[in-house]
Amino acid sequence: MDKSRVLVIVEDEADVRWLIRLTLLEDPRLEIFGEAATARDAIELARQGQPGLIILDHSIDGDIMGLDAAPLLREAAPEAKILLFSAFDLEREAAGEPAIDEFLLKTHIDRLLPTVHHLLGLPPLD
Amino acid sequence: MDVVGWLETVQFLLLAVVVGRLWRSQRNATCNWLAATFFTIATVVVVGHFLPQHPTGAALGVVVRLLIIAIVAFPYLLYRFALTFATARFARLRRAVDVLMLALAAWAAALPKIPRAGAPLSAAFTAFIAVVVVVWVGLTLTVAILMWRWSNAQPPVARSRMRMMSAAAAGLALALLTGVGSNSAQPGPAQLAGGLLVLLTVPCFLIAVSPPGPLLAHWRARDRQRLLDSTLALVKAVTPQEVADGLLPSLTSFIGGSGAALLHADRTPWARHALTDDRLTRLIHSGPDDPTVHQHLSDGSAWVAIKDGWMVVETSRFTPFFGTEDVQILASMAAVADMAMARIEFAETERRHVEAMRDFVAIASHELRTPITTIGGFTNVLRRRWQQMPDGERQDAISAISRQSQVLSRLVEDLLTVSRIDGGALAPSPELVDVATAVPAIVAELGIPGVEVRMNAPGAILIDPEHLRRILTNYLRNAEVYGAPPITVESFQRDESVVIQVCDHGPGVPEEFRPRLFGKFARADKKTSRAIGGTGLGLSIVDGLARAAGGVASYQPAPGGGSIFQVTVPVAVPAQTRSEQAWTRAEFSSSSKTKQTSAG
Repeated sequence: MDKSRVLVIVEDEADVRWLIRLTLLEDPRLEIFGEAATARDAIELARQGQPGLIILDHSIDGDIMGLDAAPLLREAAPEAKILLFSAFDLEREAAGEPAIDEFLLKTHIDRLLPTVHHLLGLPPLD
Repeated sequence: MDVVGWLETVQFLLLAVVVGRLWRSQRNATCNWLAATFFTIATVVVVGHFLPQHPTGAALGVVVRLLIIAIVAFPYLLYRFALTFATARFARLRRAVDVLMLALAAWAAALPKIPRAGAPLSAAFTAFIAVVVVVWVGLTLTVAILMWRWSNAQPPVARSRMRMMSAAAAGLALALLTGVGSNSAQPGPAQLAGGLLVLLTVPCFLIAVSPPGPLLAHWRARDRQRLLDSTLALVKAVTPQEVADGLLPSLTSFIGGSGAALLHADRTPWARHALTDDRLTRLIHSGPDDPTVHQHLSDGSAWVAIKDGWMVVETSRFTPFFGTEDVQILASMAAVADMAMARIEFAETERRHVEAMRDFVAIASHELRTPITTIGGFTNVLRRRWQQMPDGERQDAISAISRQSQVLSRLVEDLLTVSRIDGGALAPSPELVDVATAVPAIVAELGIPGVEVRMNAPGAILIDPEHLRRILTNYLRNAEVYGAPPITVESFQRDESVVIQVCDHGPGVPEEFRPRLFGKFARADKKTSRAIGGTGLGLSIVDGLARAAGGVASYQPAPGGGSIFQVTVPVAVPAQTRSEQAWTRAEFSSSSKTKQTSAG
């Protein structure tokens, strides 16, 4: 399995998490290694799975928020790209965090798959 | 009596009156000695002018001796007045002068014969006069030198007053030297010159003791620009520290103090200038005993009340007497400082309000985007993949759309309610609500199992019934989800209010979360809140609805664990009045029936 196409989803809202999964699985080239609702669970998943991409929400359960978790995830999976996918407008904050590769506002979920393709260097689906 | 003599008499009487009024308003050592000084000389001048030129008889002889003793005492009293400003190092000199004056007074009392005006002087009397002149000139010149030297470090008004006092004392010495040696019954040029000098020195004493307004304004003119600059600096200040930095050095300089501080109402300091810890502590302890006093001048400090505290200056030892007009500047500066602080407080409140609004918009946007994203996302997925999706998955997606629609709907309703509360557009319809019947009815309607109701407040409250329902619903839903049974709903009267409280035996609210418990989007447990469709606005709405009824919402941890959520509302109608109303209605009803019967 090409690890560059393995993803981890970090999202505490169950419906949103499922929606992200459904959206990503429209591309058969992608594989979801695991899903987490807290930063600590996500770090463990990232360490185990060494995914190519982590889709990270900011407002998650637990005592560590997404922005603060990004450097810890980078440390756990140095090769993984990190996409901050949040309903908070954190574009400026994401630009200031070196561990984050891209930011996408949740209302632009229609752009989720193209953004994932871009980050993983995959051509778009036909 | 000659014109000069009359004028001297009038002047000394006027001076005695002015000093007397000052003494009545300020009973301290300085004013006591000042009053003694000028009452004595006024008595000498007045009595002396009405004495016959050649007094005869034992009684008049005693009066003359007493006048001589009083004349001898005058410079000593003036000297003692000046020494009230001196430090302890003058104590030895003061004791020596005390002894000398006692000796002189005894000598005056023991003089064998007082020569008549124009008669030749005996050797004993000449010696006595010589000693008196030396002592008089010595003491008055000492006062003049001390006052002049001390005036150098004082602010303009105090400095000018002290120099007037110095000039007057020096003038008296000169007047005595000019007039001495003439024993003629007719006033000669030297005596006239001495009299004129006295006429000039008395106004100087008057100005030193109680300067007229126009002269004060002239003396203060030099400070006008500095005062304006300080006021402008205060008006431009944007933080309380800038107010303190602009105010305290100016204050200290204006009234010739050595340091200043700003204190809270409980007298703890929050800003200081040129004060060591020890001096600050002494300054704080010198304050007025009566906390309602607005200004206080004591030996060593001047206090002026400002909003929420005090402005205090460590004054020089001369300020309580010579600096009273300078201290009036304190009151003006205090008013400007109060305005600056009020402006800063308003700006800070505005800033916090804008920041809170910004945070609220950010969080509200986040909360709205989540259901909107989910509804739109699942709709698009269904549209794209309807055929490929298994039926079960399609149903789950539709359920998610439905679920998130309800979340969105609740959120929009709550946001609208919060907006109405914040914008003052709630438009409640208050009614007299009998707590003992309304609360159990709401609890029964909610149908939460195991809730115990105990109503012990017999009065009624004025509240929109829908608001009361919303408050209790929010409290009980929270108790059901976050708390643990047994859950009780109680009411009781506390002073002039009715308290309705919901208690549970759950884990309680974490201490770190309590300060923002009634804030917007406050959630201690986001996961549980979301699971039950909570919007994070429930308690904020409770708080707003309670305030709309003139009450307050509050939380306290339950002893032994759990939560107590309360709403406290003023009593509208006490139970007794309600009973009277019921009796009145019954009487009206009965009388109506009687009238109907009669008419029928």
